[in-house]
Amino acid sequence: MNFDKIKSAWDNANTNDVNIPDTLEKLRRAQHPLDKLKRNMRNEWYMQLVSIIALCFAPQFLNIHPDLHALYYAMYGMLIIVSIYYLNLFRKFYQELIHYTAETKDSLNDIYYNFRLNIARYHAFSFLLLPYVLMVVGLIICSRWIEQGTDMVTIAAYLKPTGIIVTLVVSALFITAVPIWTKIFYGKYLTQIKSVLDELKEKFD
Amino acid sequence: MEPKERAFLTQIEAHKGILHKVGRIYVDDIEDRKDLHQEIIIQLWKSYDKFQGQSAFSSWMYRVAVNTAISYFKKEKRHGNTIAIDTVAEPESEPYDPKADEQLELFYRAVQHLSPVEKAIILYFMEGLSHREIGLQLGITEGNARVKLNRTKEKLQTITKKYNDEL
Repeated sequence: MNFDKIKSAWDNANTNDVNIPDTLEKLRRAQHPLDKLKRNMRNEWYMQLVSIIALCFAPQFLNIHPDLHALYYAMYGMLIIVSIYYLNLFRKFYQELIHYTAETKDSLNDIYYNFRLNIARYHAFSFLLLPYVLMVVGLIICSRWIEQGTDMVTIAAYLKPTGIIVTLVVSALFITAVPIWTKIFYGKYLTQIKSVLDELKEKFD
Repeated sequence: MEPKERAFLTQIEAHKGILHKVGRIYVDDIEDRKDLHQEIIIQLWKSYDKFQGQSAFSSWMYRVAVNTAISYFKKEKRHGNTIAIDTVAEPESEPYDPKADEQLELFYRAVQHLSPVEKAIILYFMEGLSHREIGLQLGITEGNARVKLNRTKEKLQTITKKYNDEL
């Protein structure tokens, strides 16, 4: 193959296959994985916000005993503080994220490490929700006990280890499921980006 | 339409050869290529405010286009690696040289077997960039760019030789 000969054909290439629109409104939505991620995160941000507001009424929906409401709202307050912190971080990150103008290696490094960082943040946020969910389940159980006139001391002995085992199994499943979920959604893309970055590393052998 | 948008589209129109070349190098399917063209225009528009005019518009456009194409990873090779030579239109403004055109098509076929980084390197080489400039665009050293370019050219020679042997 003679590259010099090809170059003249290359320079004179027909560009009729490229259609530049009259206006940018005619373009479809961006399909880049990073843009899809940003859209997903924006949707999740709104969903989480609505969920957190809705959880304010959980004691009424879940019939939590009035004596336990103060405990519930103490937990709810902590949930709000943690959620505001994480949701704000996610929002700021995805608003600022534009990574196409830098040189290729820097651009891909930014995409790769920001993806990983946000997956880690997502994991941490999800794991922080686990104690809240378990405590709400605990409050629902306690409410039923109060209604039935029983408590931890008077329930059947076999129920205590069973409760502990169920709690541990549910926690383990949850902690396992969150990374699997993010790997399914973002794992392939991260692997592809990583392989390009590896290729860009110095190799003189 | 706002003046900024009009100015942007005028510049893109003037440099649409970049879209054509990046599209041909990175995607072999015509429909996927149209998608990639659109995606690059979107990303160029989103980054347009960051273009300060410190470098040539074409250099900036190449960088955004290549970065988008490298990290796009969508609908890879719907119909395998083959490109039908008879589907490519003849150039209108230049004297038609069937031999050169055939060579270019062979080149595009062979390029489909390269990795995303190798595609970027050969693209910049074909545009006449020096080793240093290729390194600057990709964020690698001049030496690394030289080594990678030589390897990529050797790889292309091997692939095209295989194609020629098959014919």
